[in-house]
Amino acid sequence: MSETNSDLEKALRALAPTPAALDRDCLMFRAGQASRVRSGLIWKVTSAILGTAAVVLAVLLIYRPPSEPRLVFVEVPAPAPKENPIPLPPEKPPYLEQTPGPVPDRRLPDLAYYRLQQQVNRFGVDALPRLSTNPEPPSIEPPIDRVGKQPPTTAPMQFFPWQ
Amino acid sequence: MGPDQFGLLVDRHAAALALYARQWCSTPEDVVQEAFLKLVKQCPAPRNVVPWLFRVVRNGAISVARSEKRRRRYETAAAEELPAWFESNEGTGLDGEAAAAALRNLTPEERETITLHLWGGLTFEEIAQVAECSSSTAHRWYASGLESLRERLHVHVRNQF
Repeated sequence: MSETNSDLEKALRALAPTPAALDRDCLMFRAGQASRVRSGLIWKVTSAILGTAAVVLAVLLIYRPPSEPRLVFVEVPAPAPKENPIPLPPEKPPYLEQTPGPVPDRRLPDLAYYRLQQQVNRFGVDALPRLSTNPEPPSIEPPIDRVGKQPPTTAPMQFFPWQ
Repeated sequence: MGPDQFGLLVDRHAAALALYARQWCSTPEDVVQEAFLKLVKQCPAPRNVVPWLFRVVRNGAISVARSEKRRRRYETAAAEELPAWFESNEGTGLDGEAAAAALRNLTPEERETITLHLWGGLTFEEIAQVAECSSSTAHRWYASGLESLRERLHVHVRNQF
């Protein structure tokens, strides 16, 4: 830029524009008002939106059509027939598996022997049954213990190992 | 933006903004005041406040000028009561009224560019943003307008003396 234009720039820049006829205090006051309006605008907009939504929902609730029963047919597939189902053995309930079986009472003496001993003690040796000559031994009913279990043997009793 | 910063902006740029708005409308103070109020409402504040203010003033002044053209009766009266653009400053060697008259005779683009650069303090990049043109175009308008002013104000004659 030429020197002449530079001088002209300086001369023009030295010209001060006419001050704006602005009321500074009024402008500051209105600026404060405008800033307050901006801060309160959020709540105004929020309340307006929520109020509108409430009105719309109330109208929808009032003019809601009555509900009618609605039939819905749902196709359920038929179950396939089972071919010769194998019956499973019934499972034992757990409480039976845990229960122990009857235990023979070992404290009671053999009942037949006990009776014989009582008879001998009461009536003497004569009370012992006579040994018959018949080849068949006298039939003695097998004693039954208290729990209904037969004694382990019905053979002639041997009280001593050397007999 | 705090009130102190806002007041500083008003004190520094109100006159230049009014001069800028005066190119289009007869009520530049109203346009400048509205621009400042718009600035307060901006959230967040614009990055470059001064170019933003000049742009808002430009849009507002053009809008006001369009509405003024519809009222031709008042337009004539307003043209007769145009206030002075510059304060009288005899130390510069330029007459304020003569400078204002020379500025009025420039094309709108040249006048706008010269006003923004000399009294608004904007760079050519900022002028390009405000006037919606390229910075080279703004510079070209400025140079041609300055040349026109130099011829009309007879500065070369004064410098020779």
